[in-house]
Amino acid sequence: MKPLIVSTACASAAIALGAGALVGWWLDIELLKSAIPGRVKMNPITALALMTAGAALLLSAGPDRPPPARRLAQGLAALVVLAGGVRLGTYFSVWAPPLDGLLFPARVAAVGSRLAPLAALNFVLTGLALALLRLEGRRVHAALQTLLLGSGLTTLAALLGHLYGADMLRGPMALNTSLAFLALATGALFARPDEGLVALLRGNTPAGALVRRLLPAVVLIPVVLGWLRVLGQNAGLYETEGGSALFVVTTIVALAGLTWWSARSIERAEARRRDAEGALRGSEGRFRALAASANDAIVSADQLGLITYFNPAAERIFGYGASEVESRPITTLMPDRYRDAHRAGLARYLATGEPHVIGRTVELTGRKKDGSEFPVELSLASSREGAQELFTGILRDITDRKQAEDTLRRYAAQLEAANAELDAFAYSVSHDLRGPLRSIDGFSRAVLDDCADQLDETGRAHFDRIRDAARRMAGLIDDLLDLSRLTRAPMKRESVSLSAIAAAVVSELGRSAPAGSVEWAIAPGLMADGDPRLLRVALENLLENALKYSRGQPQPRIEFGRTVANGSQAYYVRDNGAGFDMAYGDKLFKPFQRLHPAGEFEGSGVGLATVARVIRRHGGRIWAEGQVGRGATFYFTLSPDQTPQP
Amino acid sequence: MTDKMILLVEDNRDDEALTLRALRRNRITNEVIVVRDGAEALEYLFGTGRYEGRDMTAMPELVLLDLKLPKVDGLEVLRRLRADQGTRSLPVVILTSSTEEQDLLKGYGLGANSYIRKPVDFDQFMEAARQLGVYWLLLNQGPPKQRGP
Repeated sequence: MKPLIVSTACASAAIALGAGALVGWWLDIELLKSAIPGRVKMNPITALALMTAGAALLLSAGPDRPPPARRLAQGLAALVVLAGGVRLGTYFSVWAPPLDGLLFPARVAAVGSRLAPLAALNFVLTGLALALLRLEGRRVHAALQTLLLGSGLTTLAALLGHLYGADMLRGPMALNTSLAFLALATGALFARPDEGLVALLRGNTPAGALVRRLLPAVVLIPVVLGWLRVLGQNAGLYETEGGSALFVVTTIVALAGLTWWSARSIERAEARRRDAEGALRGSEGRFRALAASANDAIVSADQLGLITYFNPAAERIFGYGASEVESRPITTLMPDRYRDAHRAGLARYLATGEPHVIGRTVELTGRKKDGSEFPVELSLASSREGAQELFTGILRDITDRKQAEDTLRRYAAQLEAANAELDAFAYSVSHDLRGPLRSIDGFSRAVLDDCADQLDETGRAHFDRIRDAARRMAGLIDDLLDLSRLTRAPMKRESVSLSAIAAAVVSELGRSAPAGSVEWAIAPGLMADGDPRLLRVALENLLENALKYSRGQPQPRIEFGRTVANGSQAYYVRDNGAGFDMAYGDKLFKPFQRLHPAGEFEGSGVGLATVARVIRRHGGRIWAEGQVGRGATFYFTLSPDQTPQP
Repeated sequence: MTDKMILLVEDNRDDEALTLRALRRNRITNEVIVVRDGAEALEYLFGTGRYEGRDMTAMPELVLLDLKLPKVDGLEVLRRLRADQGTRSLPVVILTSSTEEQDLLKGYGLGANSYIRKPVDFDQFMEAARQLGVYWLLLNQGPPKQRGP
C-alpha cells in the first residue's frame, strides 16, 4: 500500500471521529459521542483538537506540498500542542480555564465530560510530532519516532483499558478518542515512510519480513491473553495470583512458539540462500569450465574498459598471460590506430545505451603481445553486475579463413582467365582448324578434276574418302563449337512454353522428314522457367535424336510430356525406336560418345552432350531409360528443387 | 563483265588458290587482284605505299575480305573503307571461316554488304562462288562510278 494513502486515510479517520463526536454533542447522539454508549465520551474540545491535528497531518503528508500549506500545518499543530499543554497545566493546578465546557456547556456539565489527562498528553506529543513532520535532521528523526511511539503506546494502554472493561468513567480517554490518536500516530509515521519503524516494515529485506511477521504477534498475543485472563478472573475461575501465573505461562508458551517458528523460517531462508549461492557458484563454475576449454578467446572488461577476465585461448591467441593483462585496458589488444575509436564507442554506448557492436558479429584487427596484427571476428555481449556494466567478447582468429577467402578469390580469377582463354581457343579452333580442312577437300577435288585421266577407280575412291573425312571433321569442329558456345552464352530466365517450342521443332523436322510417317504426341500447355534459346536447342536435339533412332520402326511414335519420375516432376521425350543398352547409359551424355556405329545412325555424338549441358545450366538433371529395340525415354528437370535423387 | 575487277584480300595461299579456282571453274573471268594483308588492301584501295601512283580510276567492283589477317585485320579494313568518302559505297563481302556471332554483328555493324562462311566442302564453295559472281557481278547494280580519292 502506498504510504501517502495510509497517511491520508488515517488523517481523514481522525477528522471523521472528531466531527462525529461534535455532531453527537450537538444532536445528543450517544453512539457518536462515546462509540460505546454509556462509556466515557469524547469531550467537544478533544474533538476539535483531533480535527485540527487531522487537518495538520493532511496538509503536511505527501512529498510535494507547497510551503504555505506546510506553514499552515505547523500553525495548526501548534494549536493542538497549546490545547494539550493548557489542559495538562490545569491538572497540575497551574491555571484552570474553563476549557472542558467551552462547547455545549450544559450537556458537558451534565455528564462531567472533560479533556482527559492522557488525551492532553497525547495532544502535546502528537502536536509536536506534526509540527516536526516536515523538518529534516537526525535529531528530528529520533524525536519524531519517540513522540509518535510514546503517543501510540499511551493510546494502546487506553484501548486495553476499554478492552478489559476497567471503569473508564473517569478513565484515561474515550474509545473513539483512542482510535483517533492511534490513527494520527500511524498516519504521521507513514508520512515519512523511509525512516524508522515504517521503513523497517516496508523494507524488502529479511529483517523487514521478520518485523512484519513478529510485530503483530508480539502485540496481539499479550493483548488477547490478558483479555482472556480478565475474562477468567471475572468468571471466578482463579484469583489474581493464579491468573498472573496462568498469564505468564501462556505468554511464555506463545512467545516461545513464535520464536521457534521464526527460527525455522530464518533457517529455511538461510537454506534457500545457500542453495542460490550454490547454484550461482555452479553456474560460475560452468562458465569458467566452458571459457577455459573454449577454442576462441573469451575476454571480459568492465565499463572503464579494463580487462577482468582472460581465458586460456585468449592467452594462446594474443600471447599475453591472464595476469599480465587483467586490470589493463582492453585497448592493449588492438592496434594503436583503433584505440580512440574504441574509447569513443564505449563512451557513446555508456551515455546513450545504443549498441553498435553489441549483439552482432564484426570483423576487426587484433594485436598480439609481439605487436603483430591479425584478423579477428568478435561477438560482443553486455551484462549487468549490480550497477556495473560488464562486456564479454568472444574473439576468433580468422587468419586461416581470410587466407582461404583470398585463395578462393584467386581461384575465381584464374577460372575467369581460363574461361577467357578457352573462348580465345574456341575462336581459334573455329577459324584456323577449318582452313587446312578446306585445303584438303578443295585440292582433293582439284586432283579429281584436273588429273581424272591419270586416276583409276581405286584412286578416285581414295580421294573420295579423304574428302569425306575432311567434311566429317569439319562437322565435328562445328558441333564442338556449338557446345562451347552453349556454355559461354549468358543465360536468361523467363517463362517459356515448352509445348510451343516442341511443336515448332516438330513442324521443322516434318519438313525434312517424310510427312505422315511419324506419329507425334506433344502434350499441350507445358510451361517452364528458362532460357528460350537454350531450351529450343535442347528440345531440337532430343526430338531429332528420337526421330533419328525411330527410323527403322514401321510405326514410329514420338512423345513429349511431363510425368513424375524418380519422385520428381520431369519432362520427357519418348520414342519406340532402336533404344539402347542401359549398361552404357552413363556414356550417353558425354561428348563424342556413340552407342551406335556411325554407319547405322549418322551423328557426331555431341547432341545429347549439348542437351545435358543446357539442362545442367538450368540447374536441372537429365537421365535416360531404354532397352535395345524397345525405344528410349529421356527425362529432364529444369530446377534443382526437383532433384531428390543423386 | 571483263572490265569489272575483284579485289581478294586473303593471306592464306591455299584459300587464295581455291577461291581463284572456284571463280574460274564458274567461268568468272574478271581480273582478280590479290593482296595478302589488311595494310596492303588499304594501300591498294587508297593508292598509297606500295600502290602509290596507281591508276585510281580502276576501282574494284567487289572486295572479298577475309577477317583474320596479318597487320591490319579485316574488320579494321572495313571500318577505314566505310569512313572514307571514296570507298564508302564499295561492295564488300566478308569471306571468312568464322561464324562467331560477334564477328557477324561487327561485320554488318561496320557496313559489310554480305557475310559468307567459307565451306569446307569444295562443292559447296564452288556453289557459293558461282552465286557470288552471278549476284555481285551480273545482277547487282553497283554504285555510280566515282573518281578515286
